[in-house]
Amino acid sequence: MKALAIRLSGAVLVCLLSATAHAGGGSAPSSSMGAGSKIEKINKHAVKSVLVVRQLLAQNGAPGIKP
Amino acid sequence: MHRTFRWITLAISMAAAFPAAAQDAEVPEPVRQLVEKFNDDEIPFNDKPVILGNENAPVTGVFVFGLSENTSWMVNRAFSSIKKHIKSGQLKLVVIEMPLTWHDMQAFAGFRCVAPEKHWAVLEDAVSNPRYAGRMKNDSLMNAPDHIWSMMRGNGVEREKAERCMRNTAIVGHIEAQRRVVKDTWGTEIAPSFIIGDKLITDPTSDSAIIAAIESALKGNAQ
Repeated sequence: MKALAIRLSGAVLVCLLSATAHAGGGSAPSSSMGAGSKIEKINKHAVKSVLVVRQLLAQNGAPGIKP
Repeated sequence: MHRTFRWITLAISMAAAFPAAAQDAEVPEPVRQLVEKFNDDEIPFNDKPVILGNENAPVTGVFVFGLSENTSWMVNRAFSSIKKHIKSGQLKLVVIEMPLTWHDMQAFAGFRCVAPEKHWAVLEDAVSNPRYAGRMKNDSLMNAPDHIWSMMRGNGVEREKAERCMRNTAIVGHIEAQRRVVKDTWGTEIAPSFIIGDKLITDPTSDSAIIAAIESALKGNAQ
């Protein structure tokens, strides 16, 4: 049961992350527009935050990160 | 037990490798229910990484931290020798969070509302018992705050605010950004992982490879 639960959790993340690029589009059922909108917002924040995270890592000298 | 989460990261990598197929995937109902509860409030949060050690240390490493039994094992059983290098001023370790599930997303987001100086202590507490993460992940996504709150209690954040942080689109976006940076920069989604110099050490079973990488980097700097 534990393995199944963990497997489901992993699948959940996979599906959501892969859906971020097109979530909230016209193909989403009306009942899921709330979730699609939130997913789209998370994705937009993530795109902006990637720059912040990279900058902070570069400032701290993390290997492999170019300033 | 130590290898429990390896296949999860493989599953994530597989999805990323097949984007065309992934685009057809539907968001599962539990995730829809969870995400619909998310808020767009403007909540101040700590967006800085945890830095362990002297900022002028000759070697800087990255610790990819997951809420997993493997990270728990690393922090509780194999971290003491790494800490010696940190305490001696030879190593600076940058901690970056790697969410493996939507339970983790909520947890890491909640921890971002704790004062920055307490952030590492909360992360350590969260993996102090390897069962904490397992219990959380065996429960529903909607019940995750009950488990996360037990990790955060006593750190100056009221439960109501903690839950708003756990389910805030901006803070969760910041956590997701860390996952993307780790994947894009070092090509891994496995936690725990360490990056020391040009060496990537994923899911180590002991501290020996990490210590060897630190000492190699120190020798390289000395030459």
